Amino acid sequence: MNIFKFELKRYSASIISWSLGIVGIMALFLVFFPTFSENSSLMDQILSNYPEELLKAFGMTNEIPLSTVNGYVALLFPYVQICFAIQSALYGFGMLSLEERNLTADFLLSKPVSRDKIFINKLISVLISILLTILIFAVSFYGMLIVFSDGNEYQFSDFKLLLSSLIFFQLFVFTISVLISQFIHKVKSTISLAMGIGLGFYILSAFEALFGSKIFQFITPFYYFNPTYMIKNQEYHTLYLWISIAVTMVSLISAYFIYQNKDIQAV
Amino acid sequence: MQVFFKELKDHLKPLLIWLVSVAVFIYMGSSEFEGYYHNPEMNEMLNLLPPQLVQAMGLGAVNITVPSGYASLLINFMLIIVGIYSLLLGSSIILREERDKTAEFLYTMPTKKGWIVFEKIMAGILLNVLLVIGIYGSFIAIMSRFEFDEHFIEFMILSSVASFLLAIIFYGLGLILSAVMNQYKKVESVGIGILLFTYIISIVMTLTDKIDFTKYFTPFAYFQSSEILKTLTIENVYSWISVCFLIVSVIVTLIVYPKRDLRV
Repeated sequence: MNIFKFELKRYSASIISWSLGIVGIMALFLVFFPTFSENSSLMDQILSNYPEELLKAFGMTNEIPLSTVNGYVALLFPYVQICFAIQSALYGFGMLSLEERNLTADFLLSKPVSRDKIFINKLISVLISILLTILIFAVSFYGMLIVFSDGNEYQFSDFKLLLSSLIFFQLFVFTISVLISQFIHKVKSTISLAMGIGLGFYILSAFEALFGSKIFQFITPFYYFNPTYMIKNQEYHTLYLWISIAVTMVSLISAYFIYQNKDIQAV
Repeated sequence: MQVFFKELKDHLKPLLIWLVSVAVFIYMGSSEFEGYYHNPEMNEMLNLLPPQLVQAMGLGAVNITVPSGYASLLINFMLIIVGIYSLLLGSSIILREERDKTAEFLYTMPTKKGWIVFEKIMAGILLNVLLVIGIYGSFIAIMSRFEFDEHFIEFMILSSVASFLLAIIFYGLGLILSAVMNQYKKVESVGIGILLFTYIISIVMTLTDKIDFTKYFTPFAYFQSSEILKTLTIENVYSWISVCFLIVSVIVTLIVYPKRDLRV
């Protein structure tokens, strides 16, 4: 329990700043919704006249009109996902390697607790931090929709799936980062790795959107949980949901076993 | 000069890792480009669309069936990558002694603290130059599978200058944050926060024209690859802002950091 409490306390400041930051970004986007929807309703009219294949070739869709709340949120949600990805990658890279970095590993590991307990306690505290961030975001998101929708029609239930997908999304990035951190000799800077993972996945998904390439679809969680698809169809990409769950489980379990026998650098 | 070479040597490996990963990105992108390269169907499709629509999609200026137009799409991402690298470099080059607990050793050497920091800063600038040269060198090498259009090389050179100017802004930001902030563990988070925020603002600027006044505060809006490709120039104002910001932040760092208490 001590480890759990200590870890949670350490994350508390980080949870607050991340959720404030992400909520702030979403608020910034939504403030400009009224002006954007005016400008884009004309665009929507033009777009609706074109066949879907043609638009798809240019990375555009006429699936959800951009002048509606749903379309606008779907357009901008990937940027929120980037922030969530960086947050969970940071936690993932930090979770186990931080002790080595701060030269506290031999202190912690010489205590009468098994590595197994350390791993599980740390894991649970990260999971709680991640869930808390999502919860704060979800609540403020609904609040902001009420304030900024400017009388446009939308339904709360349309976004339920989008918000719940964040949990799978975060866990995917988090467990992959934990696994990678176990293979790196000494993690010097968690933030550069986290930026690399978060933005790397995003850039791959941007390639996917630009060129419609099939390979990238299997690599990047931004495609697994594509907001446009989820809002339009009100369901997950079933195949990709399973891929993400499988990858999450495999990386978590292998990270667990690697950590049990890993050489930890002492001071 | 020893500090200078030591910094170069220590940062060489991370630099190479960054360069290799960027090269992999460029390579993956370029293999996608093969489907577009001189593809007449694509051009026909573009001509079919009404001009306002093409404009709105941001494709107005660029023709994605030729190397330079295609490259301009990728360069948007290069700018972000360069920004992150130089921000983290700026903070690590100052703070690593405190982080790795070597500050007491280094700063008790019979050399002025300010001079040591100055050598470090210079090494960082050289590393930024190497990064930009590396990225655009590999970019040109990878794209050389295709026949270049007439402005390709010129566009690449301009983009590398733009990337360098963006890099030194974030490098300066990293330096100044490390010098001024007392809690060195927070520097990287604050820096990345600022970087992400300016990036998001530059996105919002594409959605609405009501916040154009923020363009001077968002480095990502200074250099837009489609603009560079269209005009084949870099706006002087922004170059001066970048250079001045770097000079100011170096001076502030050199004044403030030697006086700050080391956290050891």
